Amino acid sequence: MRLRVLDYAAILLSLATIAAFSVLVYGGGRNSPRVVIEGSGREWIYPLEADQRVEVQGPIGITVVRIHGGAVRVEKSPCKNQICVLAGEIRKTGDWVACLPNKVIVRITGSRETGGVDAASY
Amino acid sequence: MRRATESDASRRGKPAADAGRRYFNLTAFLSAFCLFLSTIEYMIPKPLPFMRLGIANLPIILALDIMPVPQVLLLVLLKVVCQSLVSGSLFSYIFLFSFAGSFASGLVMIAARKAGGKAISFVGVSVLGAVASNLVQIVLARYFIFGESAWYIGPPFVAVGLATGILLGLFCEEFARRSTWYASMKGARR
Repeated sequence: MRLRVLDYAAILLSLATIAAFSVLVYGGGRNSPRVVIEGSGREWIYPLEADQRVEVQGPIGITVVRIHGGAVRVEKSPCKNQICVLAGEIRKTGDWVACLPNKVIVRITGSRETGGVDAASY
Repeated sequence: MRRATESDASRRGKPAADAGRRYFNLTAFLSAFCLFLSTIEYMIPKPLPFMRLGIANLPIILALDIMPVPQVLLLVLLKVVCQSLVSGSLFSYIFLFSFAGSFASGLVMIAARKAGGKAISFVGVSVLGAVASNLVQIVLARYFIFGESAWYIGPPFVAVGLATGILLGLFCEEFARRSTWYASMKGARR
């Protein structure tokens, strides 16, 4: 028997689904570092590579988090002591920065770079 | 079967209202066929619990051309029940998977058959149905049982669906081409 046009279309569509699915599941995207922002009982996840400005609503106002050039920092905070802003940039897996008054926590997850050096002294 | 065709002729005036009765015998026959094929399917060892050949879907694919949509859906429901009776999963969460997968596949196949017309054969219909069923089951597995790791079995699972879908579709095409019974059923519908 001969297959018809839409048969080939159906098979191609399935193959495309399998391919896309495989890339999504087995592709490298899963292990690259991600920025997890927690606030007001919710959680947002962003890739560390893409530049982004995120506003998180907390109990005392809006905390502005900026992801830029592979680093994250709290750009603006409604809190009194501004520790989160002064904490500066974080860029490594496991690092975190938090604004406790506004209940916002920003941390970086993902696989650790191997062979990196934490600190060096002479 | 003969009796069904006779009553067909006498009732030709009011098709919609009597569709249920008109296709009563055929529905019963095809769902019995589903039960039989489920048993065969159950005897074949599976590498993973959800990896099925899907031969119990054969009557449903054949029904697409010889029954109206409500009867096909009824047949899908009966197939799910038959399958779970054979595998003993009628009152377990597997029933939910089977139910969702079978209806997704049933609806997709009905839509594909209606929309595709002459441009699609049972092969395309069967492939779309198998893939739809497997995708739905993976999504369910993700949210109800395995969590994120469910995605990892996804691609091979869909690939198996594609392969068995093609085989089943080829078989149905061949069957439809050769069977005089099927030809007469198709004729009776017109």
